[in-house]
Amino acid sequence: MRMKKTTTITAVLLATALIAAACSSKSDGGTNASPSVSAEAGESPAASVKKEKLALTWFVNAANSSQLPAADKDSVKKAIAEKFNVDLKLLYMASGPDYLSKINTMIASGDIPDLFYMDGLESVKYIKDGIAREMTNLVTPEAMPNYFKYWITPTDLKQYQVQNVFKRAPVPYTKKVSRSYYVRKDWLDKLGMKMPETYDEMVTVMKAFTEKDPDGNGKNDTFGFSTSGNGTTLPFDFPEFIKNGLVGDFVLENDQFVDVRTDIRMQKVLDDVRKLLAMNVVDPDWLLNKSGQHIEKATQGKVGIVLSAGGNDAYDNNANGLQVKTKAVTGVANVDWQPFHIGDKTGTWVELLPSNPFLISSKTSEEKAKRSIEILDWLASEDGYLLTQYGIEGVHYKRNGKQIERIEDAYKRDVLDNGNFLSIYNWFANFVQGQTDKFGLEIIDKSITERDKAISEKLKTYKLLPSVGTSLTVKEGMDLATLRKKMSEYHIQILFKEKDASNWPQYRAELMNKYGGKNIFGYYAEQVTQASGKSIKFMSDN
Amino acid sequence: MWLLRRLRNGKYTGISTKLFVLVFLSVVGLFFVIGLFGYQRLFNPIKQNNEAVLQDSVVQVENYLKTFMNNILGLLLLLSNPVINDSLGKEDIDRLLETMMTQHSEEFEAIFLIEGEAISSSSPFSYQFFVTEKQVADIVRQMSGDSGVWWSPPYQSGGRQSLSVAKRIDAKRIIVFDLNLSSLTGPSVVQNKEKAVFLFTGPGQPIAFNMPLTSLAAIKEYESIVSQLQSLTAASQTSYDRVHTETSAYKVLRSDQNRWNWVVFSIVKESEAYPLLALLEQQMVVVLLVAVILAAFLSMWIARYIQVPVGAITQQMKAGARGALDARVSFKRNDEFAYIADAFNRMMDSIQTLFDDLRLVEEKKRQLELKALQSQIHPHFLHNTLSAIYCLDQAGRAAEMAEMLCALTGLLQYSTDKKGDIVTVEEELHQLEQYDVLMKLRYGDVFRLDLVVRDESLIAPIPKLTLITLVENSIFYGLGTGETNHIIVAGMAFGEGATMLEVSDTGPGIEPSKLKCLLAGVTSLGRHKGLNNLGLRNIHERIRLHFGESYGLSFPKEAEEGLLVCVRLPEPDGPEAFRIKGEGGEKHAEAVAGGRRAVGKGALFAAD
Repeated sequence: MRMKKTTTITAVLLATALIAAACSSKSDGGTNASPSVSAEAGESPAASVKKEKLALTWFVNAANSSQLPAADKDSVKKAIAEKFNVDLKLLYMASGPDYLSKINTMIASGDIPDLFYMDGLESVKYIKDGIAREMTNLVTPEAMPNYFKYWITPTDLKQYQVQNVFKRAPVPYTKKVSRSYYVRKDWLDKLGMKMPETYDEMVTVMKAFTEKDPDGNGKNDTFGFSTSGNGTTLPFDFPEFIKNGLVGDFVLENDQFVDVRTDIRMQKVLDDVRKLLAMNVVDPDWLLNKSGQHIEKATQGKVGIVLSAGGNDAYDNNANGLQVKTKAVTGVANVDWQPFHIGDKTGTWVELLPSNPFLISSKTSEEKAKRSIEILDWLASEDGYLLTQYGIEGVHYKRNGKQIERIEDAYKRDVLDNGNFLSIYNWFANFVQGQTDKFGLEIIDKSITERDKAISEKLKTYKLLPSVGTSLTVKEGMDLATLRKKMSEYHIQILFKEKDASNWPQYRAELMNKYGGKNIFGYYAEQVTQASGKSIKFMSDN
Repeated sequence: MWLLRRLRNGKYTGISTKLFVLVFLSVVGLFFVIGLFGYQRLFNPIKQNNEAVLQDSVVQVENYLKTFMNNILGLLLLLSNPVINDSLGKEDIDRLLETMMTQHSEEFEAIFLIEGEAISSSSPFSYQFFVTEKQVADIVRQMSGDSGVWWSPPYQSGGRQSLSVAKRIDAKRIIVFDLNLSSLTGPSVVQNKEKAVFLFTGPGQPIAFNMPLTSLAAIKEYESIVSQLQSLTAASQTSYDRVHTETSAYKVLRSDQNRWNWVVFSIVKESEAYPLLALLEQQMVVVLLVAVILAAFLSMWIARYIQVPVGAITQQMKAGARGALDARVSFKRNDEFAYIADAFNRMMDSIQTLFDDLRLVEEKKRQLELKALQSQIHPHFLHNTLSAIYCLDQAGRAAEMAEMLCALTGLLQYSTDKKGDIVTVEEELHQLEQYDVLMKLRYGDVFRLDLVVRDESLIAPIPKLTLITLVENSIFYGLGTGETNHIIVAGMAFGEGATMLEVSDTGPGIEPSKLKCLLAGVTSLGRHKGLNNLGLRNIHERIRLHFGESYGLSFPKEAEEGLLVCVRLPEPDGPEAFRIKGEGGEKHAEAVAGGRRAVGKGALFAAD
């Protein structure tokens, strides 16, 4: 009986495959014609027809510490297999050089994963090389209702395209960025000062923190501010950018494209930074500090103001955050890092652009591509989102109407102690973790204190400027890296070698002309023009 | 020991205490020895294992140091090759330095090129602004005329431990590496939570360490360890040491087998390195505690097991010594104590039997004595009576004489009859009448005797001669008053299981003190010689001997004049009355039967 049924199904599937093959072979040239045929078939109610069992391979980003469990303990794998009749093979690795070399090896050997995650800039190369597949008929509001309903607008998607082809789509992302300065409120209180609101107040605080022994240890061993330059760059952390009206990295001003770090106004920024450095209120090692070293100094109680983009750095419930670590390392009980920003009304940064896409292999079959897209849409849905973020309802979390509360013991036992495997499936919604409000759900977390909530509320009030609206890429022959390297060298030269920033206009001209700034940013402006529909220009002259 | 000495020297210590101490010490000692033995057996292998681990990590660091330094030398030789340098333009050199930096971003702080007296190129770019002119001058001075490799001593720069390695390229140029010494103990070198590696220069300057300083306590611990390790850097050879901080003890292995004479310390927190030992130590304490409790419990139980029977036996022995011959020990056990208890009980049984026998003999003897007294007719009485008979004969009062003779012979027979001591009240009254006749003939009307006894009392048992002695007593005391002494013998109703008889007279009476003497048997009946030598005391004693302690004579003080003596006898059907049957009371039994018959006829004694 069973045998007979299997045979029938196989026959039907064979027939379908033959037809599909015929269709695709007919339409080699056109990109749009062939997918539409099978797209229609795919859009028919999926659940009613028993689908062909497919084996899919995805290559995604996951922390090195994460590990998938055995198939029988992998609740997500089971759910996917059941829902989509798919045997999903998930390859994972932390994104970085190893990730790239692994995928390059796979591509070289012709064993390209059906779907893979990629860094935004890197993805351009794969699109150019024809590794990525056209998505026009795959990533549509019809095929991915949840993806479009909750996370991505068609405009976002359109602006995200490069090389005039639709071959990449962003994983759900958030436009919000929680960049904020954090100040030792307990030091302020000790010195009888109030939270700084303006640049001048901020500098006054830095000076007091440096000179007035805010930790009361009798040693002159504290600094007002620190950051990490990795030996090469002038970080955006310096408040002189905001002071001089330069917010974010790229902005649009009066239909003009502005690259902040090469803008003519950097002259004032550099002069102001020089003044600040001359006051000796900044950690003298700021430029040589490697990433994170300034935060380390802050946790050691050596620095009173730092900038951090991690929204929960000052939370009591973040064991790896600034607040908790500072308490532990200094042993001071009343440590109180509080957020503030001198640009909280005028703009602290620009909204984020999607940066990480998923790509579909150009070698994968139409069926497989569609099935992958179906699964992705499920991951973007409430069902898939909750399963991959919180586990199984009733086992790993309690749901009370619109409230979700994690059952910590079960979650630890089945998820965290099980290779934290959900974080691997989370590659898709990695940037939108905790955003259950999109589904109208509320998370109950008892470990979040009132203080944490107040910080969160404060961060929400910060003003963000709109982004340029599109991902920006360079063309072949444009050397952005050298431009930036030279730019940083000029910045540092002005700060450490020269008397003032009066040479900046000259350096800028050099960067624009000799190092190709004019072309690169001009091309950027073109891309923005194309995406926004407005005519955007770039002023390379001083 | 103190306790044992005390036990030996002490005057008195209970056996249970001694037992307790001995058992307690033995059990605790046993546990202790077992624990110590086990600990010793486990300690050595664990210790050796941990020492091997320490050794490994030291060797690892030393090897890494060698490899690290060799790599640096290799790179330095490459970069200082004048041919390469000459063939490359400035930008190429910059790129080369930059690539090298990217490849060794962990190990190097920076690479820079000194041309003449100044830095011409550096990677990272900004590093040139952080190298002071003095540093550059120092390097140039050190390298003057030297084409070898120069290693600077480690120095601190911006919170980092650094070291410069320089080599001359040609007359003008020097290539310098600034090394990040922290990388020498970085996570790629030593990865173990329990271990930490500390690197010092020969003179004791700390270079690098890999102890995580995530809390204030850890920082203090670190400072404490570093200060102690510094003093150990001077040691001359590879050796194991120990370092104590406020919270922990560390085992330290020192090594300096590298070409810079740097000292590598591998330290292991003992509580973590020997987790099993620490656990064992904890468990030892628990086991010892349990052992003490168990020992105390066991010793107490054993001591009690001995103490309870010994205590019981001792108590009963003391009671026996005080004279309680009924003291016995009863145990429900089957051991030596049961034998001791049994022997004790048998001994006490024997003693009691002995005492009982003795008392019986004494009683018998007394009875015989009394019997002898009762049967001894006083010669004076006989003489006086016979004299009276003779007078009667002289006076020709033959009838009276015959009556008197009859009464006398009856009385004599009654007194000396050996058949039994106990008769019925009726019999006694009958003899009393004979006596009355005798005494009337001798003394005339100096007294008058009335007998008023109820039928029920007639069959009550009474020792022979009781009433006669009492009446005689009244007569003799009443003599010489000049008035007729009216003596009444009355039989009272039964009460409280006894028959009460009263002998009262109207004589001068006897003072209470004298009565006591009479009862004590001190005085006799004075100058008058009665029927026999039975006195009040003997009468009293005889009743008590026969019927028990609750019977006998008493002297109520009711009468205003004269003497009232109460005789308390058992009731006719009472157990005391029947007890005497076995003691030769057959006569009484017959009398009782006869008496019943008499009572049935409604006889009442009444004599003048």
